[in-house]
Formats: sequence, structure tokens, C-alpha cells
Amino acid sequence: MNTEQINSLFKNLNSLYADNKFKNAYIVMFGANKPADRSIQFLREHSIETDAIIDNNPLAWGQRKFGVMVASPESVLKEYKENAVILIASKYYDQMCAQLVKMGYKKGKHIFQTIKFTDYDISEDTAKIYELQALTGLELYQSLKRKYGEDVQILISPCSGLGDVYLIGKYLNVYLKKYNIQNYVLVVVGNGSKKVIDLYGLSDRTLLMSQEQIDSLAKCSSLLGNAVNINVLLHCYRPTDILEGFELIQHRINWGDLYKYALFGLDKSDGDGEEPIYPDLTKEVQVKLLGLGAKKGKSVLLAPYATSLTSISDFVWEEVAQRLTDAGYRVFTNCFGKTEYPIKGTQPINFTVSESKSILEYMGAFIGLRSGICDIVSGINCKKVIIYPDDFSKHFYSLNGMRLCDDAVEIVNGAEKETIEECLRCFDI
Amino acid sequence: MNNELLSELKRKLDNMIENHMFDGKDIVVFGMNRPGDETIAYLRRHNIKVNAIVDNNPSNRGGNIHGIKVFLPQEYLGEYKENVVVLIASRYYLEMCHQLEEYGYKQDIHIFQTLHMTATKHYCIDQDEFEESVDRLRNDVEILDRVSDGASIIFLCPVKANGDIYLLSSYLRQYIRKANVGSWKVAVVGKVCQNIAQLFGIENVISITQNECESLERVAALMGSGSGVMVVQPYSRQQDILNNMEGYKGLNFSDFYKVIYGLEETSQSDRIQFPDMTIEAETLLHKENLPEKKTVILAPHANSIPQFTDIFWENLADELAKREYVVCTNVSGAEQPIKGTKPIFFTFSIMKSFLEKAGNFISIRSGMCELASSIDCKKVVLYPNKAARHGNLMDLYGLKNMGLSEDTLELFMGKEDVIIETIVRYLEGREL
Repeated sequence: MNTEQINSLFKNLNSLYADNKFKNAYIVMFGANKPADRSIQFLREHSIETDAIIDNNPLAWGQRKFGVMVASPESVLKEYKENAVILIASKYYDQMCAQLVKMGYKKGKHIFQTIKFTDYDISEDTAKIYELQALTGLELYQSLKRKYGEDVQILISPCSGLGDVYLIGKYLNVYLKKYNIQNYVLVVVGNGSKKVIDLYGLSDRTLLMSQEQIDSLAKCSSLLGNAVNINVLLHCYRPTDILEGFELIQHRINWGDLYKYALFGLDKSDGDGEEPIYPDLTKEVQVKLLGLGAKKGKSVLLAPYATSLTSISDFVWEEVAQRLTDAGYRVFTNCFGKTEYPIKGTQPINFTVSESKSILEYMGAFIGLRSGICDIVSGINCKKVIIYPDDFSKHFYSLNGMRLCDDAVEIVNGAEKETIEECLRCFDI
Repeated sequence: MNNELLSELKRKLDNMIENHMFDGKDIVVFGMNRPGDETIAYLRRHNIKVNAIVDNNPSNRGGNIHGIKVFLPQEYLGEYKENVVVLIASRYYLEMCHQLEEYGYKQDIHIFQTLHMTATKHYCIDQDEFEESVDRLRNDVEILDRVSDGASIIFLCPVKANGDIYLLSSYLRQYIRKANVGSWKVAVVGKVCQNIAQLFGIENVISITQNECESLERVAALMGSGSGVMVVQPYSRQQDILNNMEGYKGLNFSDFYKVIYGLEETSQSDRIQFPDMTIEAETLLHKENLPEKKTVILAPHANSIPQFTDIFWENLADELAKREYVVCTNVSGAEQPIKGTKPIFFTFSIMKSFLEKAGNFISIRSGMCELASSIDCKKVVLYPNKAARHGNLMDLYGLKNMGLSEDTLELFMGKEDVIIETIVRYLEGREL
């Protein structure tokens, strides 16, 4: 999912919400995919629970995601439900829709498309919105030039993912040196991003902006091209989204390569970048962890939530937590915001990026679905088990492959039992 | 390199020519890059000969581009020569300049920056210019509306380049299947590109003007996939981004098309379907008095890579003539045949039948090579020995690397007599 698709998803969900479509509805996500994850979390933020996920793939049936069961369309919808609201975000919308229509459900009444994958809109209105955005961006750019100087280069990290800024921090100084850039400003979105950048000692020249502001700078760069000195540092965001297709050139290019080589224009000889420096918070963290009942070297942090990759079955996490507990470990779930629940049988814990090193070194072990947290964990000295939803993501986002570390145990999610056993094997259980 | 940069380069060189700054000088181009090629070609057109090329990449050393030798900077310039003019057009200008200053050369006396690229460029844009961009965009949207004429997606080939439209066409159907595209059309600039797409069986291909093409590109740059325009060319959008990946982990030019279409690495391409024009080919051969299988077609012209010297081609033609080959030069438009060879022109439709009859094809790597790649004749493709970011030109454009041909003899240009000897052996079926 790229930023535009995510935006369109939220826009559509918001408008359905405003129209009261979810009230007293039986809510179904069609497709156990990433948009379904995001939709479930979106609704949860509005205190609405999803009733079911349906999928045509028998391998997905019987799983639970964020507490919601995955089942076949027939088992959930064969018995006609007048109050069903079925959300679809898939390239196969037409086929899926036809399948539901046969079962008696109607477009616009029961069936709603939340992302149109072929959403062509070149009306004058759309062009006008883009122009306005670009103009806002230009004004912003000009004010930055007034403040930092005529030759300032604006580097933007347009998404709040922690992994993105972790990689930007790693290579930024190398890039500035190589291209002899003295005057720059890095613009990021989200407090977490800013904190990651702080670890690289780059906070002086880093600005925090809203998503709208960042989007406007990117639009300005798209419209005016080389006439402005704005560089976008993300492979799936216009105007650099041409790089998105590299996700499919398997076994060759990974996400780190795109940052290092494509976006920053570095070469092999430029090395692997810089390491973040964490403040020593051992004492503060110890107090916090003792209060939560953590055991030094015998605690495990679970991180089941990710913004870009598709979630895996709840059962895997619950079983892993249970068996670790049985073996004498204390198990925690990294929870952020009100949509991230702790895994059953674990305690929730919430910490800042700068605390992460001290916390994990105290606990001793981390098991996470591949997310931006994993990039941060890569440089920390603890047992690291990283779960990837599929082979693609394992190749493209591999911590070891990106040379962020060489000691991560990387598992591709398969049958529930196998994933569980692979995780536990790392703990000799 | 876009037209804007190209005209800036030419303006700078014109200015230097007018001021007699090259008169009696030892002229050196620093950097084996595209602006370097353009500089050499442009000066040559003004009868000014560049004496040497210097480049920091050791793999370029000892090469020979446009008949000019390539040295490491310290080799040619390490010993201070008062009489030198060094031309630089590179984003590493400052570093390169410092390097030369160490040898005692001075900016604006010996060292001249012919293009201001990124780091030193001034970015000033005012309200008026913005308004202009916006007016232009509105016009662009109207043009898109007219060109698309109801089609929900336009696949745009924004350059007049045979190899590029070949690759666009060869992966198009895979993308259409995968992305479940409804109504679509291909837009190209010029009849030649249109013809190539048609040879892939693509019926709905239209030829648009250069201006229309630029409009479509601008809309796509701003509005992305929402515009319904898919620009299918690796180097047309955000500058440098894909260039930065050239040759990295073996990435080649075909891979970039897969990246643009979002296809998997293992995707198979469609092959071009030449019509059977055996009879017409025989007629052409007969008319020109060319012997079957003993005719060699030379294709010495290329748009995007440095050319070889005429002397090389003349010597090659001589050597082939001695072995009773009849040698022709493929020419179109104002192109001149190599001395001692027959000019010949053929359309792409007849190309397969004609080359199969003629028997032999020797070309500098150009867009013609994609077209020739699947044709059953003896094929030799020559590459300038030149680095391309993380690899060299053959890594990037090699027909074998790109999965286009297994049976083509692909050679780096080296010592000319050795190359000629190798080619002759290959054509005669002797061991290489």
C-alpha cells in the first residue's frame, strides 16, 4: 500500500463513518490483507468492532487477526444478513463484488469499495487541489529558504514509519559529505521519527511538520521539478515512487539498497552508514521494568503490530506467549495508542525510542512482526526474532540482508504451528 | 540529460568558442559521462578536437572514446601543463576541481565548469513562474483529456527511441493482465516507434507530438497513477534515481522496465512478430546486387552512447571486403555510409527477412539491437568500454544480460585490429 492508497482508504472510511453506515451493522472485511488490518484499527479507534474477516483462501480460514476471525465468505454470509457492511480493498474488487451479489448483497448498500486501485481522476477539480497543495508547498519552501538561506536543500521523509527515518539517519551524513551539501533541512512527520533522528545527533537541522505540510512540499517538487531543491526520501511516494517496483525484483534489491543507492546516490565504497547513539538510561529503565515485574535476561518483548506489513494470526502470539511464560519468561507486548491491545497473557508496555536499547538489553529478547521497531532493535544487543508475513517481505525488508545486523533470526510466517515452533526454538523450548 | 541541460552546455561552449578559449590549447574533458560525450561531439562539429579524456574510474582507463584516449587524471594532468583547458560537467564538480587544484591548475584559467549541476545550482522561483506552471498544468490536463479520448490508461513512451518502445511493448501485456486494465492505449512520438509497437501486435498505439508528450509527462509527474498516464521509461521522471541503480547487483535496462511495470524478476517478455517478407527481402537483395549470407550490414550510429571512429568501421569494412563479403551501411535520414560500403535503408517490418537473407549484422549498441536480437543471423554488437554507475555498459545494456539474445557476439571496443580479427573469425565460423 502506498501513501496515496492509505489516504484514500481513510478518506473512504471516514465518509462511511460520517454517513453512519457502521451503526448497528454487521461489519465484514473481505480479504485478509493489509487494508483490512488498517480498517479494523481505524474502526477500533472509533470504538467500532469488526465482526468478521472473509477470504477466499482456505489457508487463511480459522485464523484470528486483532481478535477477529477469518472465515470463508459462505460460512459468514450465506445466511443473508440485511445489516451486513462488507468492505473491499482489492484489485479483484469486480470479481469479489460479483461473488457477493450472487449471494444477495447489493453494491452501495452492503458492499463498499474502500480503495479503488484504478482511480483515474483528471477532472479540473483534482488538478486544482494539486495546484493548491503545490502552492502551499512553494510558500513553505520559500519560508524555509528565507530562514536557512537561498541554497538550502530540503530533504523530506514523508511517512511516519520509524524504519524509514532510521535508515535516513544512517546514511544522511555520508550523503551530505559526498555531495558536499552544507546547507540542508530534514523534514519529518511524527514525534517518533524526530526521536529516531535525535539518536543520530541530527536534531539541529531536523524539522517536525504535519503530514499536510510534507505532502505539500512533495507536490511542489512534483510540479516544479528541478526548479526547487526538494528531495523526497521514500521509495513509495511521488515523485520517487518509480522505485516501488523494486520490491518485486527478488533476491537482489532490498529496502536498504533503495535508501543507500537510489535515494541517497551512494556507492558500495561509501560503507554501511552510521550507528545511532542511545543515551544510557539503564537506571531509569530498571525502575520502570522492576515495577512491571520484568526479570533481567528472562523477559521477552512481543511486537505484533506493524503499519506496512500484513499482520499474522493472533494464535501464534498467544501460544508463543503462553509457552514462554510456562518456561519461566516474563512476556510483554509493545502497545502504542488505543488500538494496540496486549497479547493475551502478557503485560502491555510502552516506551520511547531512546529507552529501547536499555529496555531490551535488560529484558534480553525481542520477537516482532517486521515493522519499523525492528530496524531500531537491529542495533541492540539482545536476542532478536523477526517474523515476516511472506517470502517477499523477508527478502525486501530482511535486517540481516540490509546489513543492519547479522544476528537476527528471521522467520517467514507459514502454518501457525511451524511459526510457533520456529520462534520457540530460539529459546530452546 | 534533458534538453534544458543540453542547451545550457552548448551555450557555455559557444561562449568559450567565441572567446577563442580553445585556440592552441590542450583540451581535456574530465568525466566520462553523458555531458562529456556531448561536449566532444559538439566541439568536433566546430572542428575543435579534444586531446584527452580523464576519468577517476580505473576501469575506464586505457579506453578510447570517439577516437580519444582515456587516462586517469594524474596520468595526463599530474605533471602541470600551463596550456591546458579542462572541461567539467558533473555533480562532483567541486571534488574534481579540488583534485586538479592539487596539481596546480586554477579555476577559470584551466578549469571550466560547463554545466551547473545540482549542488551549485541556484533555486529561485517566484510567484509568476509558479503561475506559469499552473497555467501550463491546466493546458496539460486538457491535452491529456483529448489524447486519452476515453481510454482509462495511457502507456507513454516519452522518447523517440527504438529500444525503449521495444521494451515498453515487450512487457506491456504482462502488466495489462496483472493489473486488470480496462481500456488503454499506447502513445509514442513518431511513426517509427508506432511501427515497432505494431510489430508486437499492439493495435491501439497512437503517435503524438513532442509537445503533447511533455504535457502528458508533466501531468503524470504531478498526479501519478491518478492521472491515468503511465510513463514507461526509466530515466524520464525524478532525475538520477534509476541511474543511481545502474549495474547494482547486475540490474540491467530490462530490469528497469520490470520495475516500472511492477513485474516480477522472472517475468517473460513478449517477442516481436515480424511479418514474413521473404519475397520483398529477396527483391531488395537482388536489386542491390547483394549475395545471400555473404552480405554484412553495418549499423555504426547510436544516439545515447559514444560512437566509434570512422576509421575503425572503414578498416572493418576493408577486411570484410577482402574476404568476399559485400558490406553495406544501414542509413536513415541524413546519415552517411561508411566509406567503401553501400548505403542501404530498410524498414523494421522487413528487417527480419532481410537480415536472415543477408546473413550478417554488425552494430554499435543502439536501439536497433533490441530489434535484431531475435533475428536468426550472425549478430555482432559492440560496446564502448565505459563504466555505467555500478557496472559497465554491457552489464546495463548487454543483450544477453537483458535476456534478449543468447547467440549474439558481444564485444567491448578495445584494440581495433584485435576486434576486427575477432569479428571476422566469428563471421567465418572459426574459433574465437
